[in-house]
Amino acid sequence: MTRLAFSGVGKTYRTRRGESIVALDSIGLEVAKGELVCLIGRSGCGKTTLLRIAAGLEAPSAGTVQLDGLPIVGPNTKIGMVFQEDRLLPWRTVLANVALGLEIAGVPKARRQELAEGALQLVDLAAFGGAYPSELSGGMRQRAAIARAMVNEPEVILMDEPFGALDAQTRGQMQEELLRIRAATGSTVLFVTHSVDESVMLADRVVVLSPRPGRIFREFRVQAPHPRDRATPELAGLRRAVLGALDAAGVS
Amino acid sequence: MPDSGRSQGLLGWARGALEPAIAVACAILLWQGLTLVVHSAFFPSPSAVARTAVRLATEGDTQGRVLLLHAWVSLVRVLRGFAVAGLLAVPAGIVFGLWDRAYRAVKGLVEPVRFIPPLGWVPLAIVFLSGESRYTFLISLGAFFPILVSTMTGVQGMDHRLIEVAQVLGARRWQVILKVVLPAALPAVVAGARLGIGIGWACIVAAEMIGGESVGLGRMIISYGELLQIDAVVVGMLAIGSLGYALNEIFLWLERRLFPWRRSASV
Repeated sequence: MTRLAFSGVGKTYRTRRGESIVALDSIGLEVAKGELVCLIGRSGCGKTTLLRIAAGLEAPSAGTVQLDGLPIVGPNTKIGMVFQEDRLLPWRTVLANVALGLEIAGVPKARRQELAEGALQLVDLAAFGGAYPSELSGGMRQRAAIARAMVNEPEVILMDEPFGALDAQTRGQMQEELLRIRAATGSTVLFVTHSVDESVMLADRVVVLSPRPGRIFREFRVQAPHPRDRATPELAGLRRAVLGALDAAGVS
Repeated sequence: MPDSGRSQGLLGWARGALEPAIAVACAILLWQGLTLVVHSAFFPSPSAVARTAVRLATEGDTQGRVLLLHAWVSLVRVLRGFAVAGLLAVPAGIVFGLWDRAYRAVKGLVEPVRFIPPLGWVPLAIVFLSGESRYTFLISLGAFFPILVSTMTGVQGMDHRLIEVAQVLGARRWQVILKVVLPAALPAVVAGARLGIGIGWACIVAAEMIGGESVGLGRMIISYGELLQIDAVVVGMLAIGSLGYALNEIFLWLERRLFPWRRSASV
């Protein structure tokens, strides 16, 4: 069952000089319910733009994005987003940050507290609800940002290189954490990354985008069960294939 | 932990108060010394001023109104003007900070008015207003612009990416303003309010110059000035100065209390 469907999505920007730049060109992509799709491509290939269109933060110049068959016209509580930076509100405690979406939705205070604490538990931050973001490490902050996106139980979670700023070890832990959360919640995830390894370790499907204009260049299915071992020949071969596709996409 | 923090804070406060106390004592000594050299009926000594202060505080002025009454009346006027200024300037600052076009549209009107001192408005206030509304008008005029400019700068300088966070969570525009923009700009708003109340307080002499009523610190200074009783004038000046200082300290304390997530409030 298709949850998120891009059809013929294009985005053209106009520069200050009046030139137009095609960031995305006729993107057709269907993400099934519960699927984890990784979008990968060079910087500037429009990955982030595609996510922002799905989040309703930007309107496409052409085509449509549909969630469960209904067009997305603006930000929507059924779609959550985790940004590249944690973007926690520095004046709110971690718990209050996580509760933000519930507050916006008008959930009563007691229930809010309960749900936010549950979300913090999910990302292993239960003990840090009372801390301010500035008191947390980068990995903890990004986990709090994930909890904030998860607390409203969105049907789709968009993640824009959420682990890009983390060190390798923390990044690996966060990937495991994400897979654990997905297994627990059954969320549909569209995950942007520029790390081939990350895409292969996480995704059910890796979608390679070509740069300028961003087009879907190739797709790879990853059938290996979780937890995945990056040393298996299957994953090593897949990594080579994705890397090869990235190179080919850059040249063409 | 709060207890030990308080006792440490008290000790720290005592240490911090020592140097200013020495400076004040030196200034009073210097002043007293000068009165030995300058013999003038218009140059009162600190001890004369202190005696007058006690007299004004206990027996009151020529009409029997005590110093505290003057101070209280002025304080209420300033707070009223400040409240009006804040209620207008904060929303305006947020709107102008968020929508640059709105500000550019009114810039040609707002900016010149900003540079007209409240004193310049006194004749108009006399003609068009009466009673307490004159004070409210003049004081709010003085307090309005620092709050407006500071709020606007705070909104412009905030991390605008935070707005998208609330949008993605389904926030409506007013929710974005209430939950993200206002809290993000709040340190700047409070800093502006501190400047604003300072300027409003400094406007009190000008504002009370026009009043038909005879109460208020500014009024007291003017009346005693007309009588050439400089010692009483100085008492009024010192009262305005020290109350202004106290107001500023209250705001600094508020800034520290309101923003525990910031490492330290600016001075």
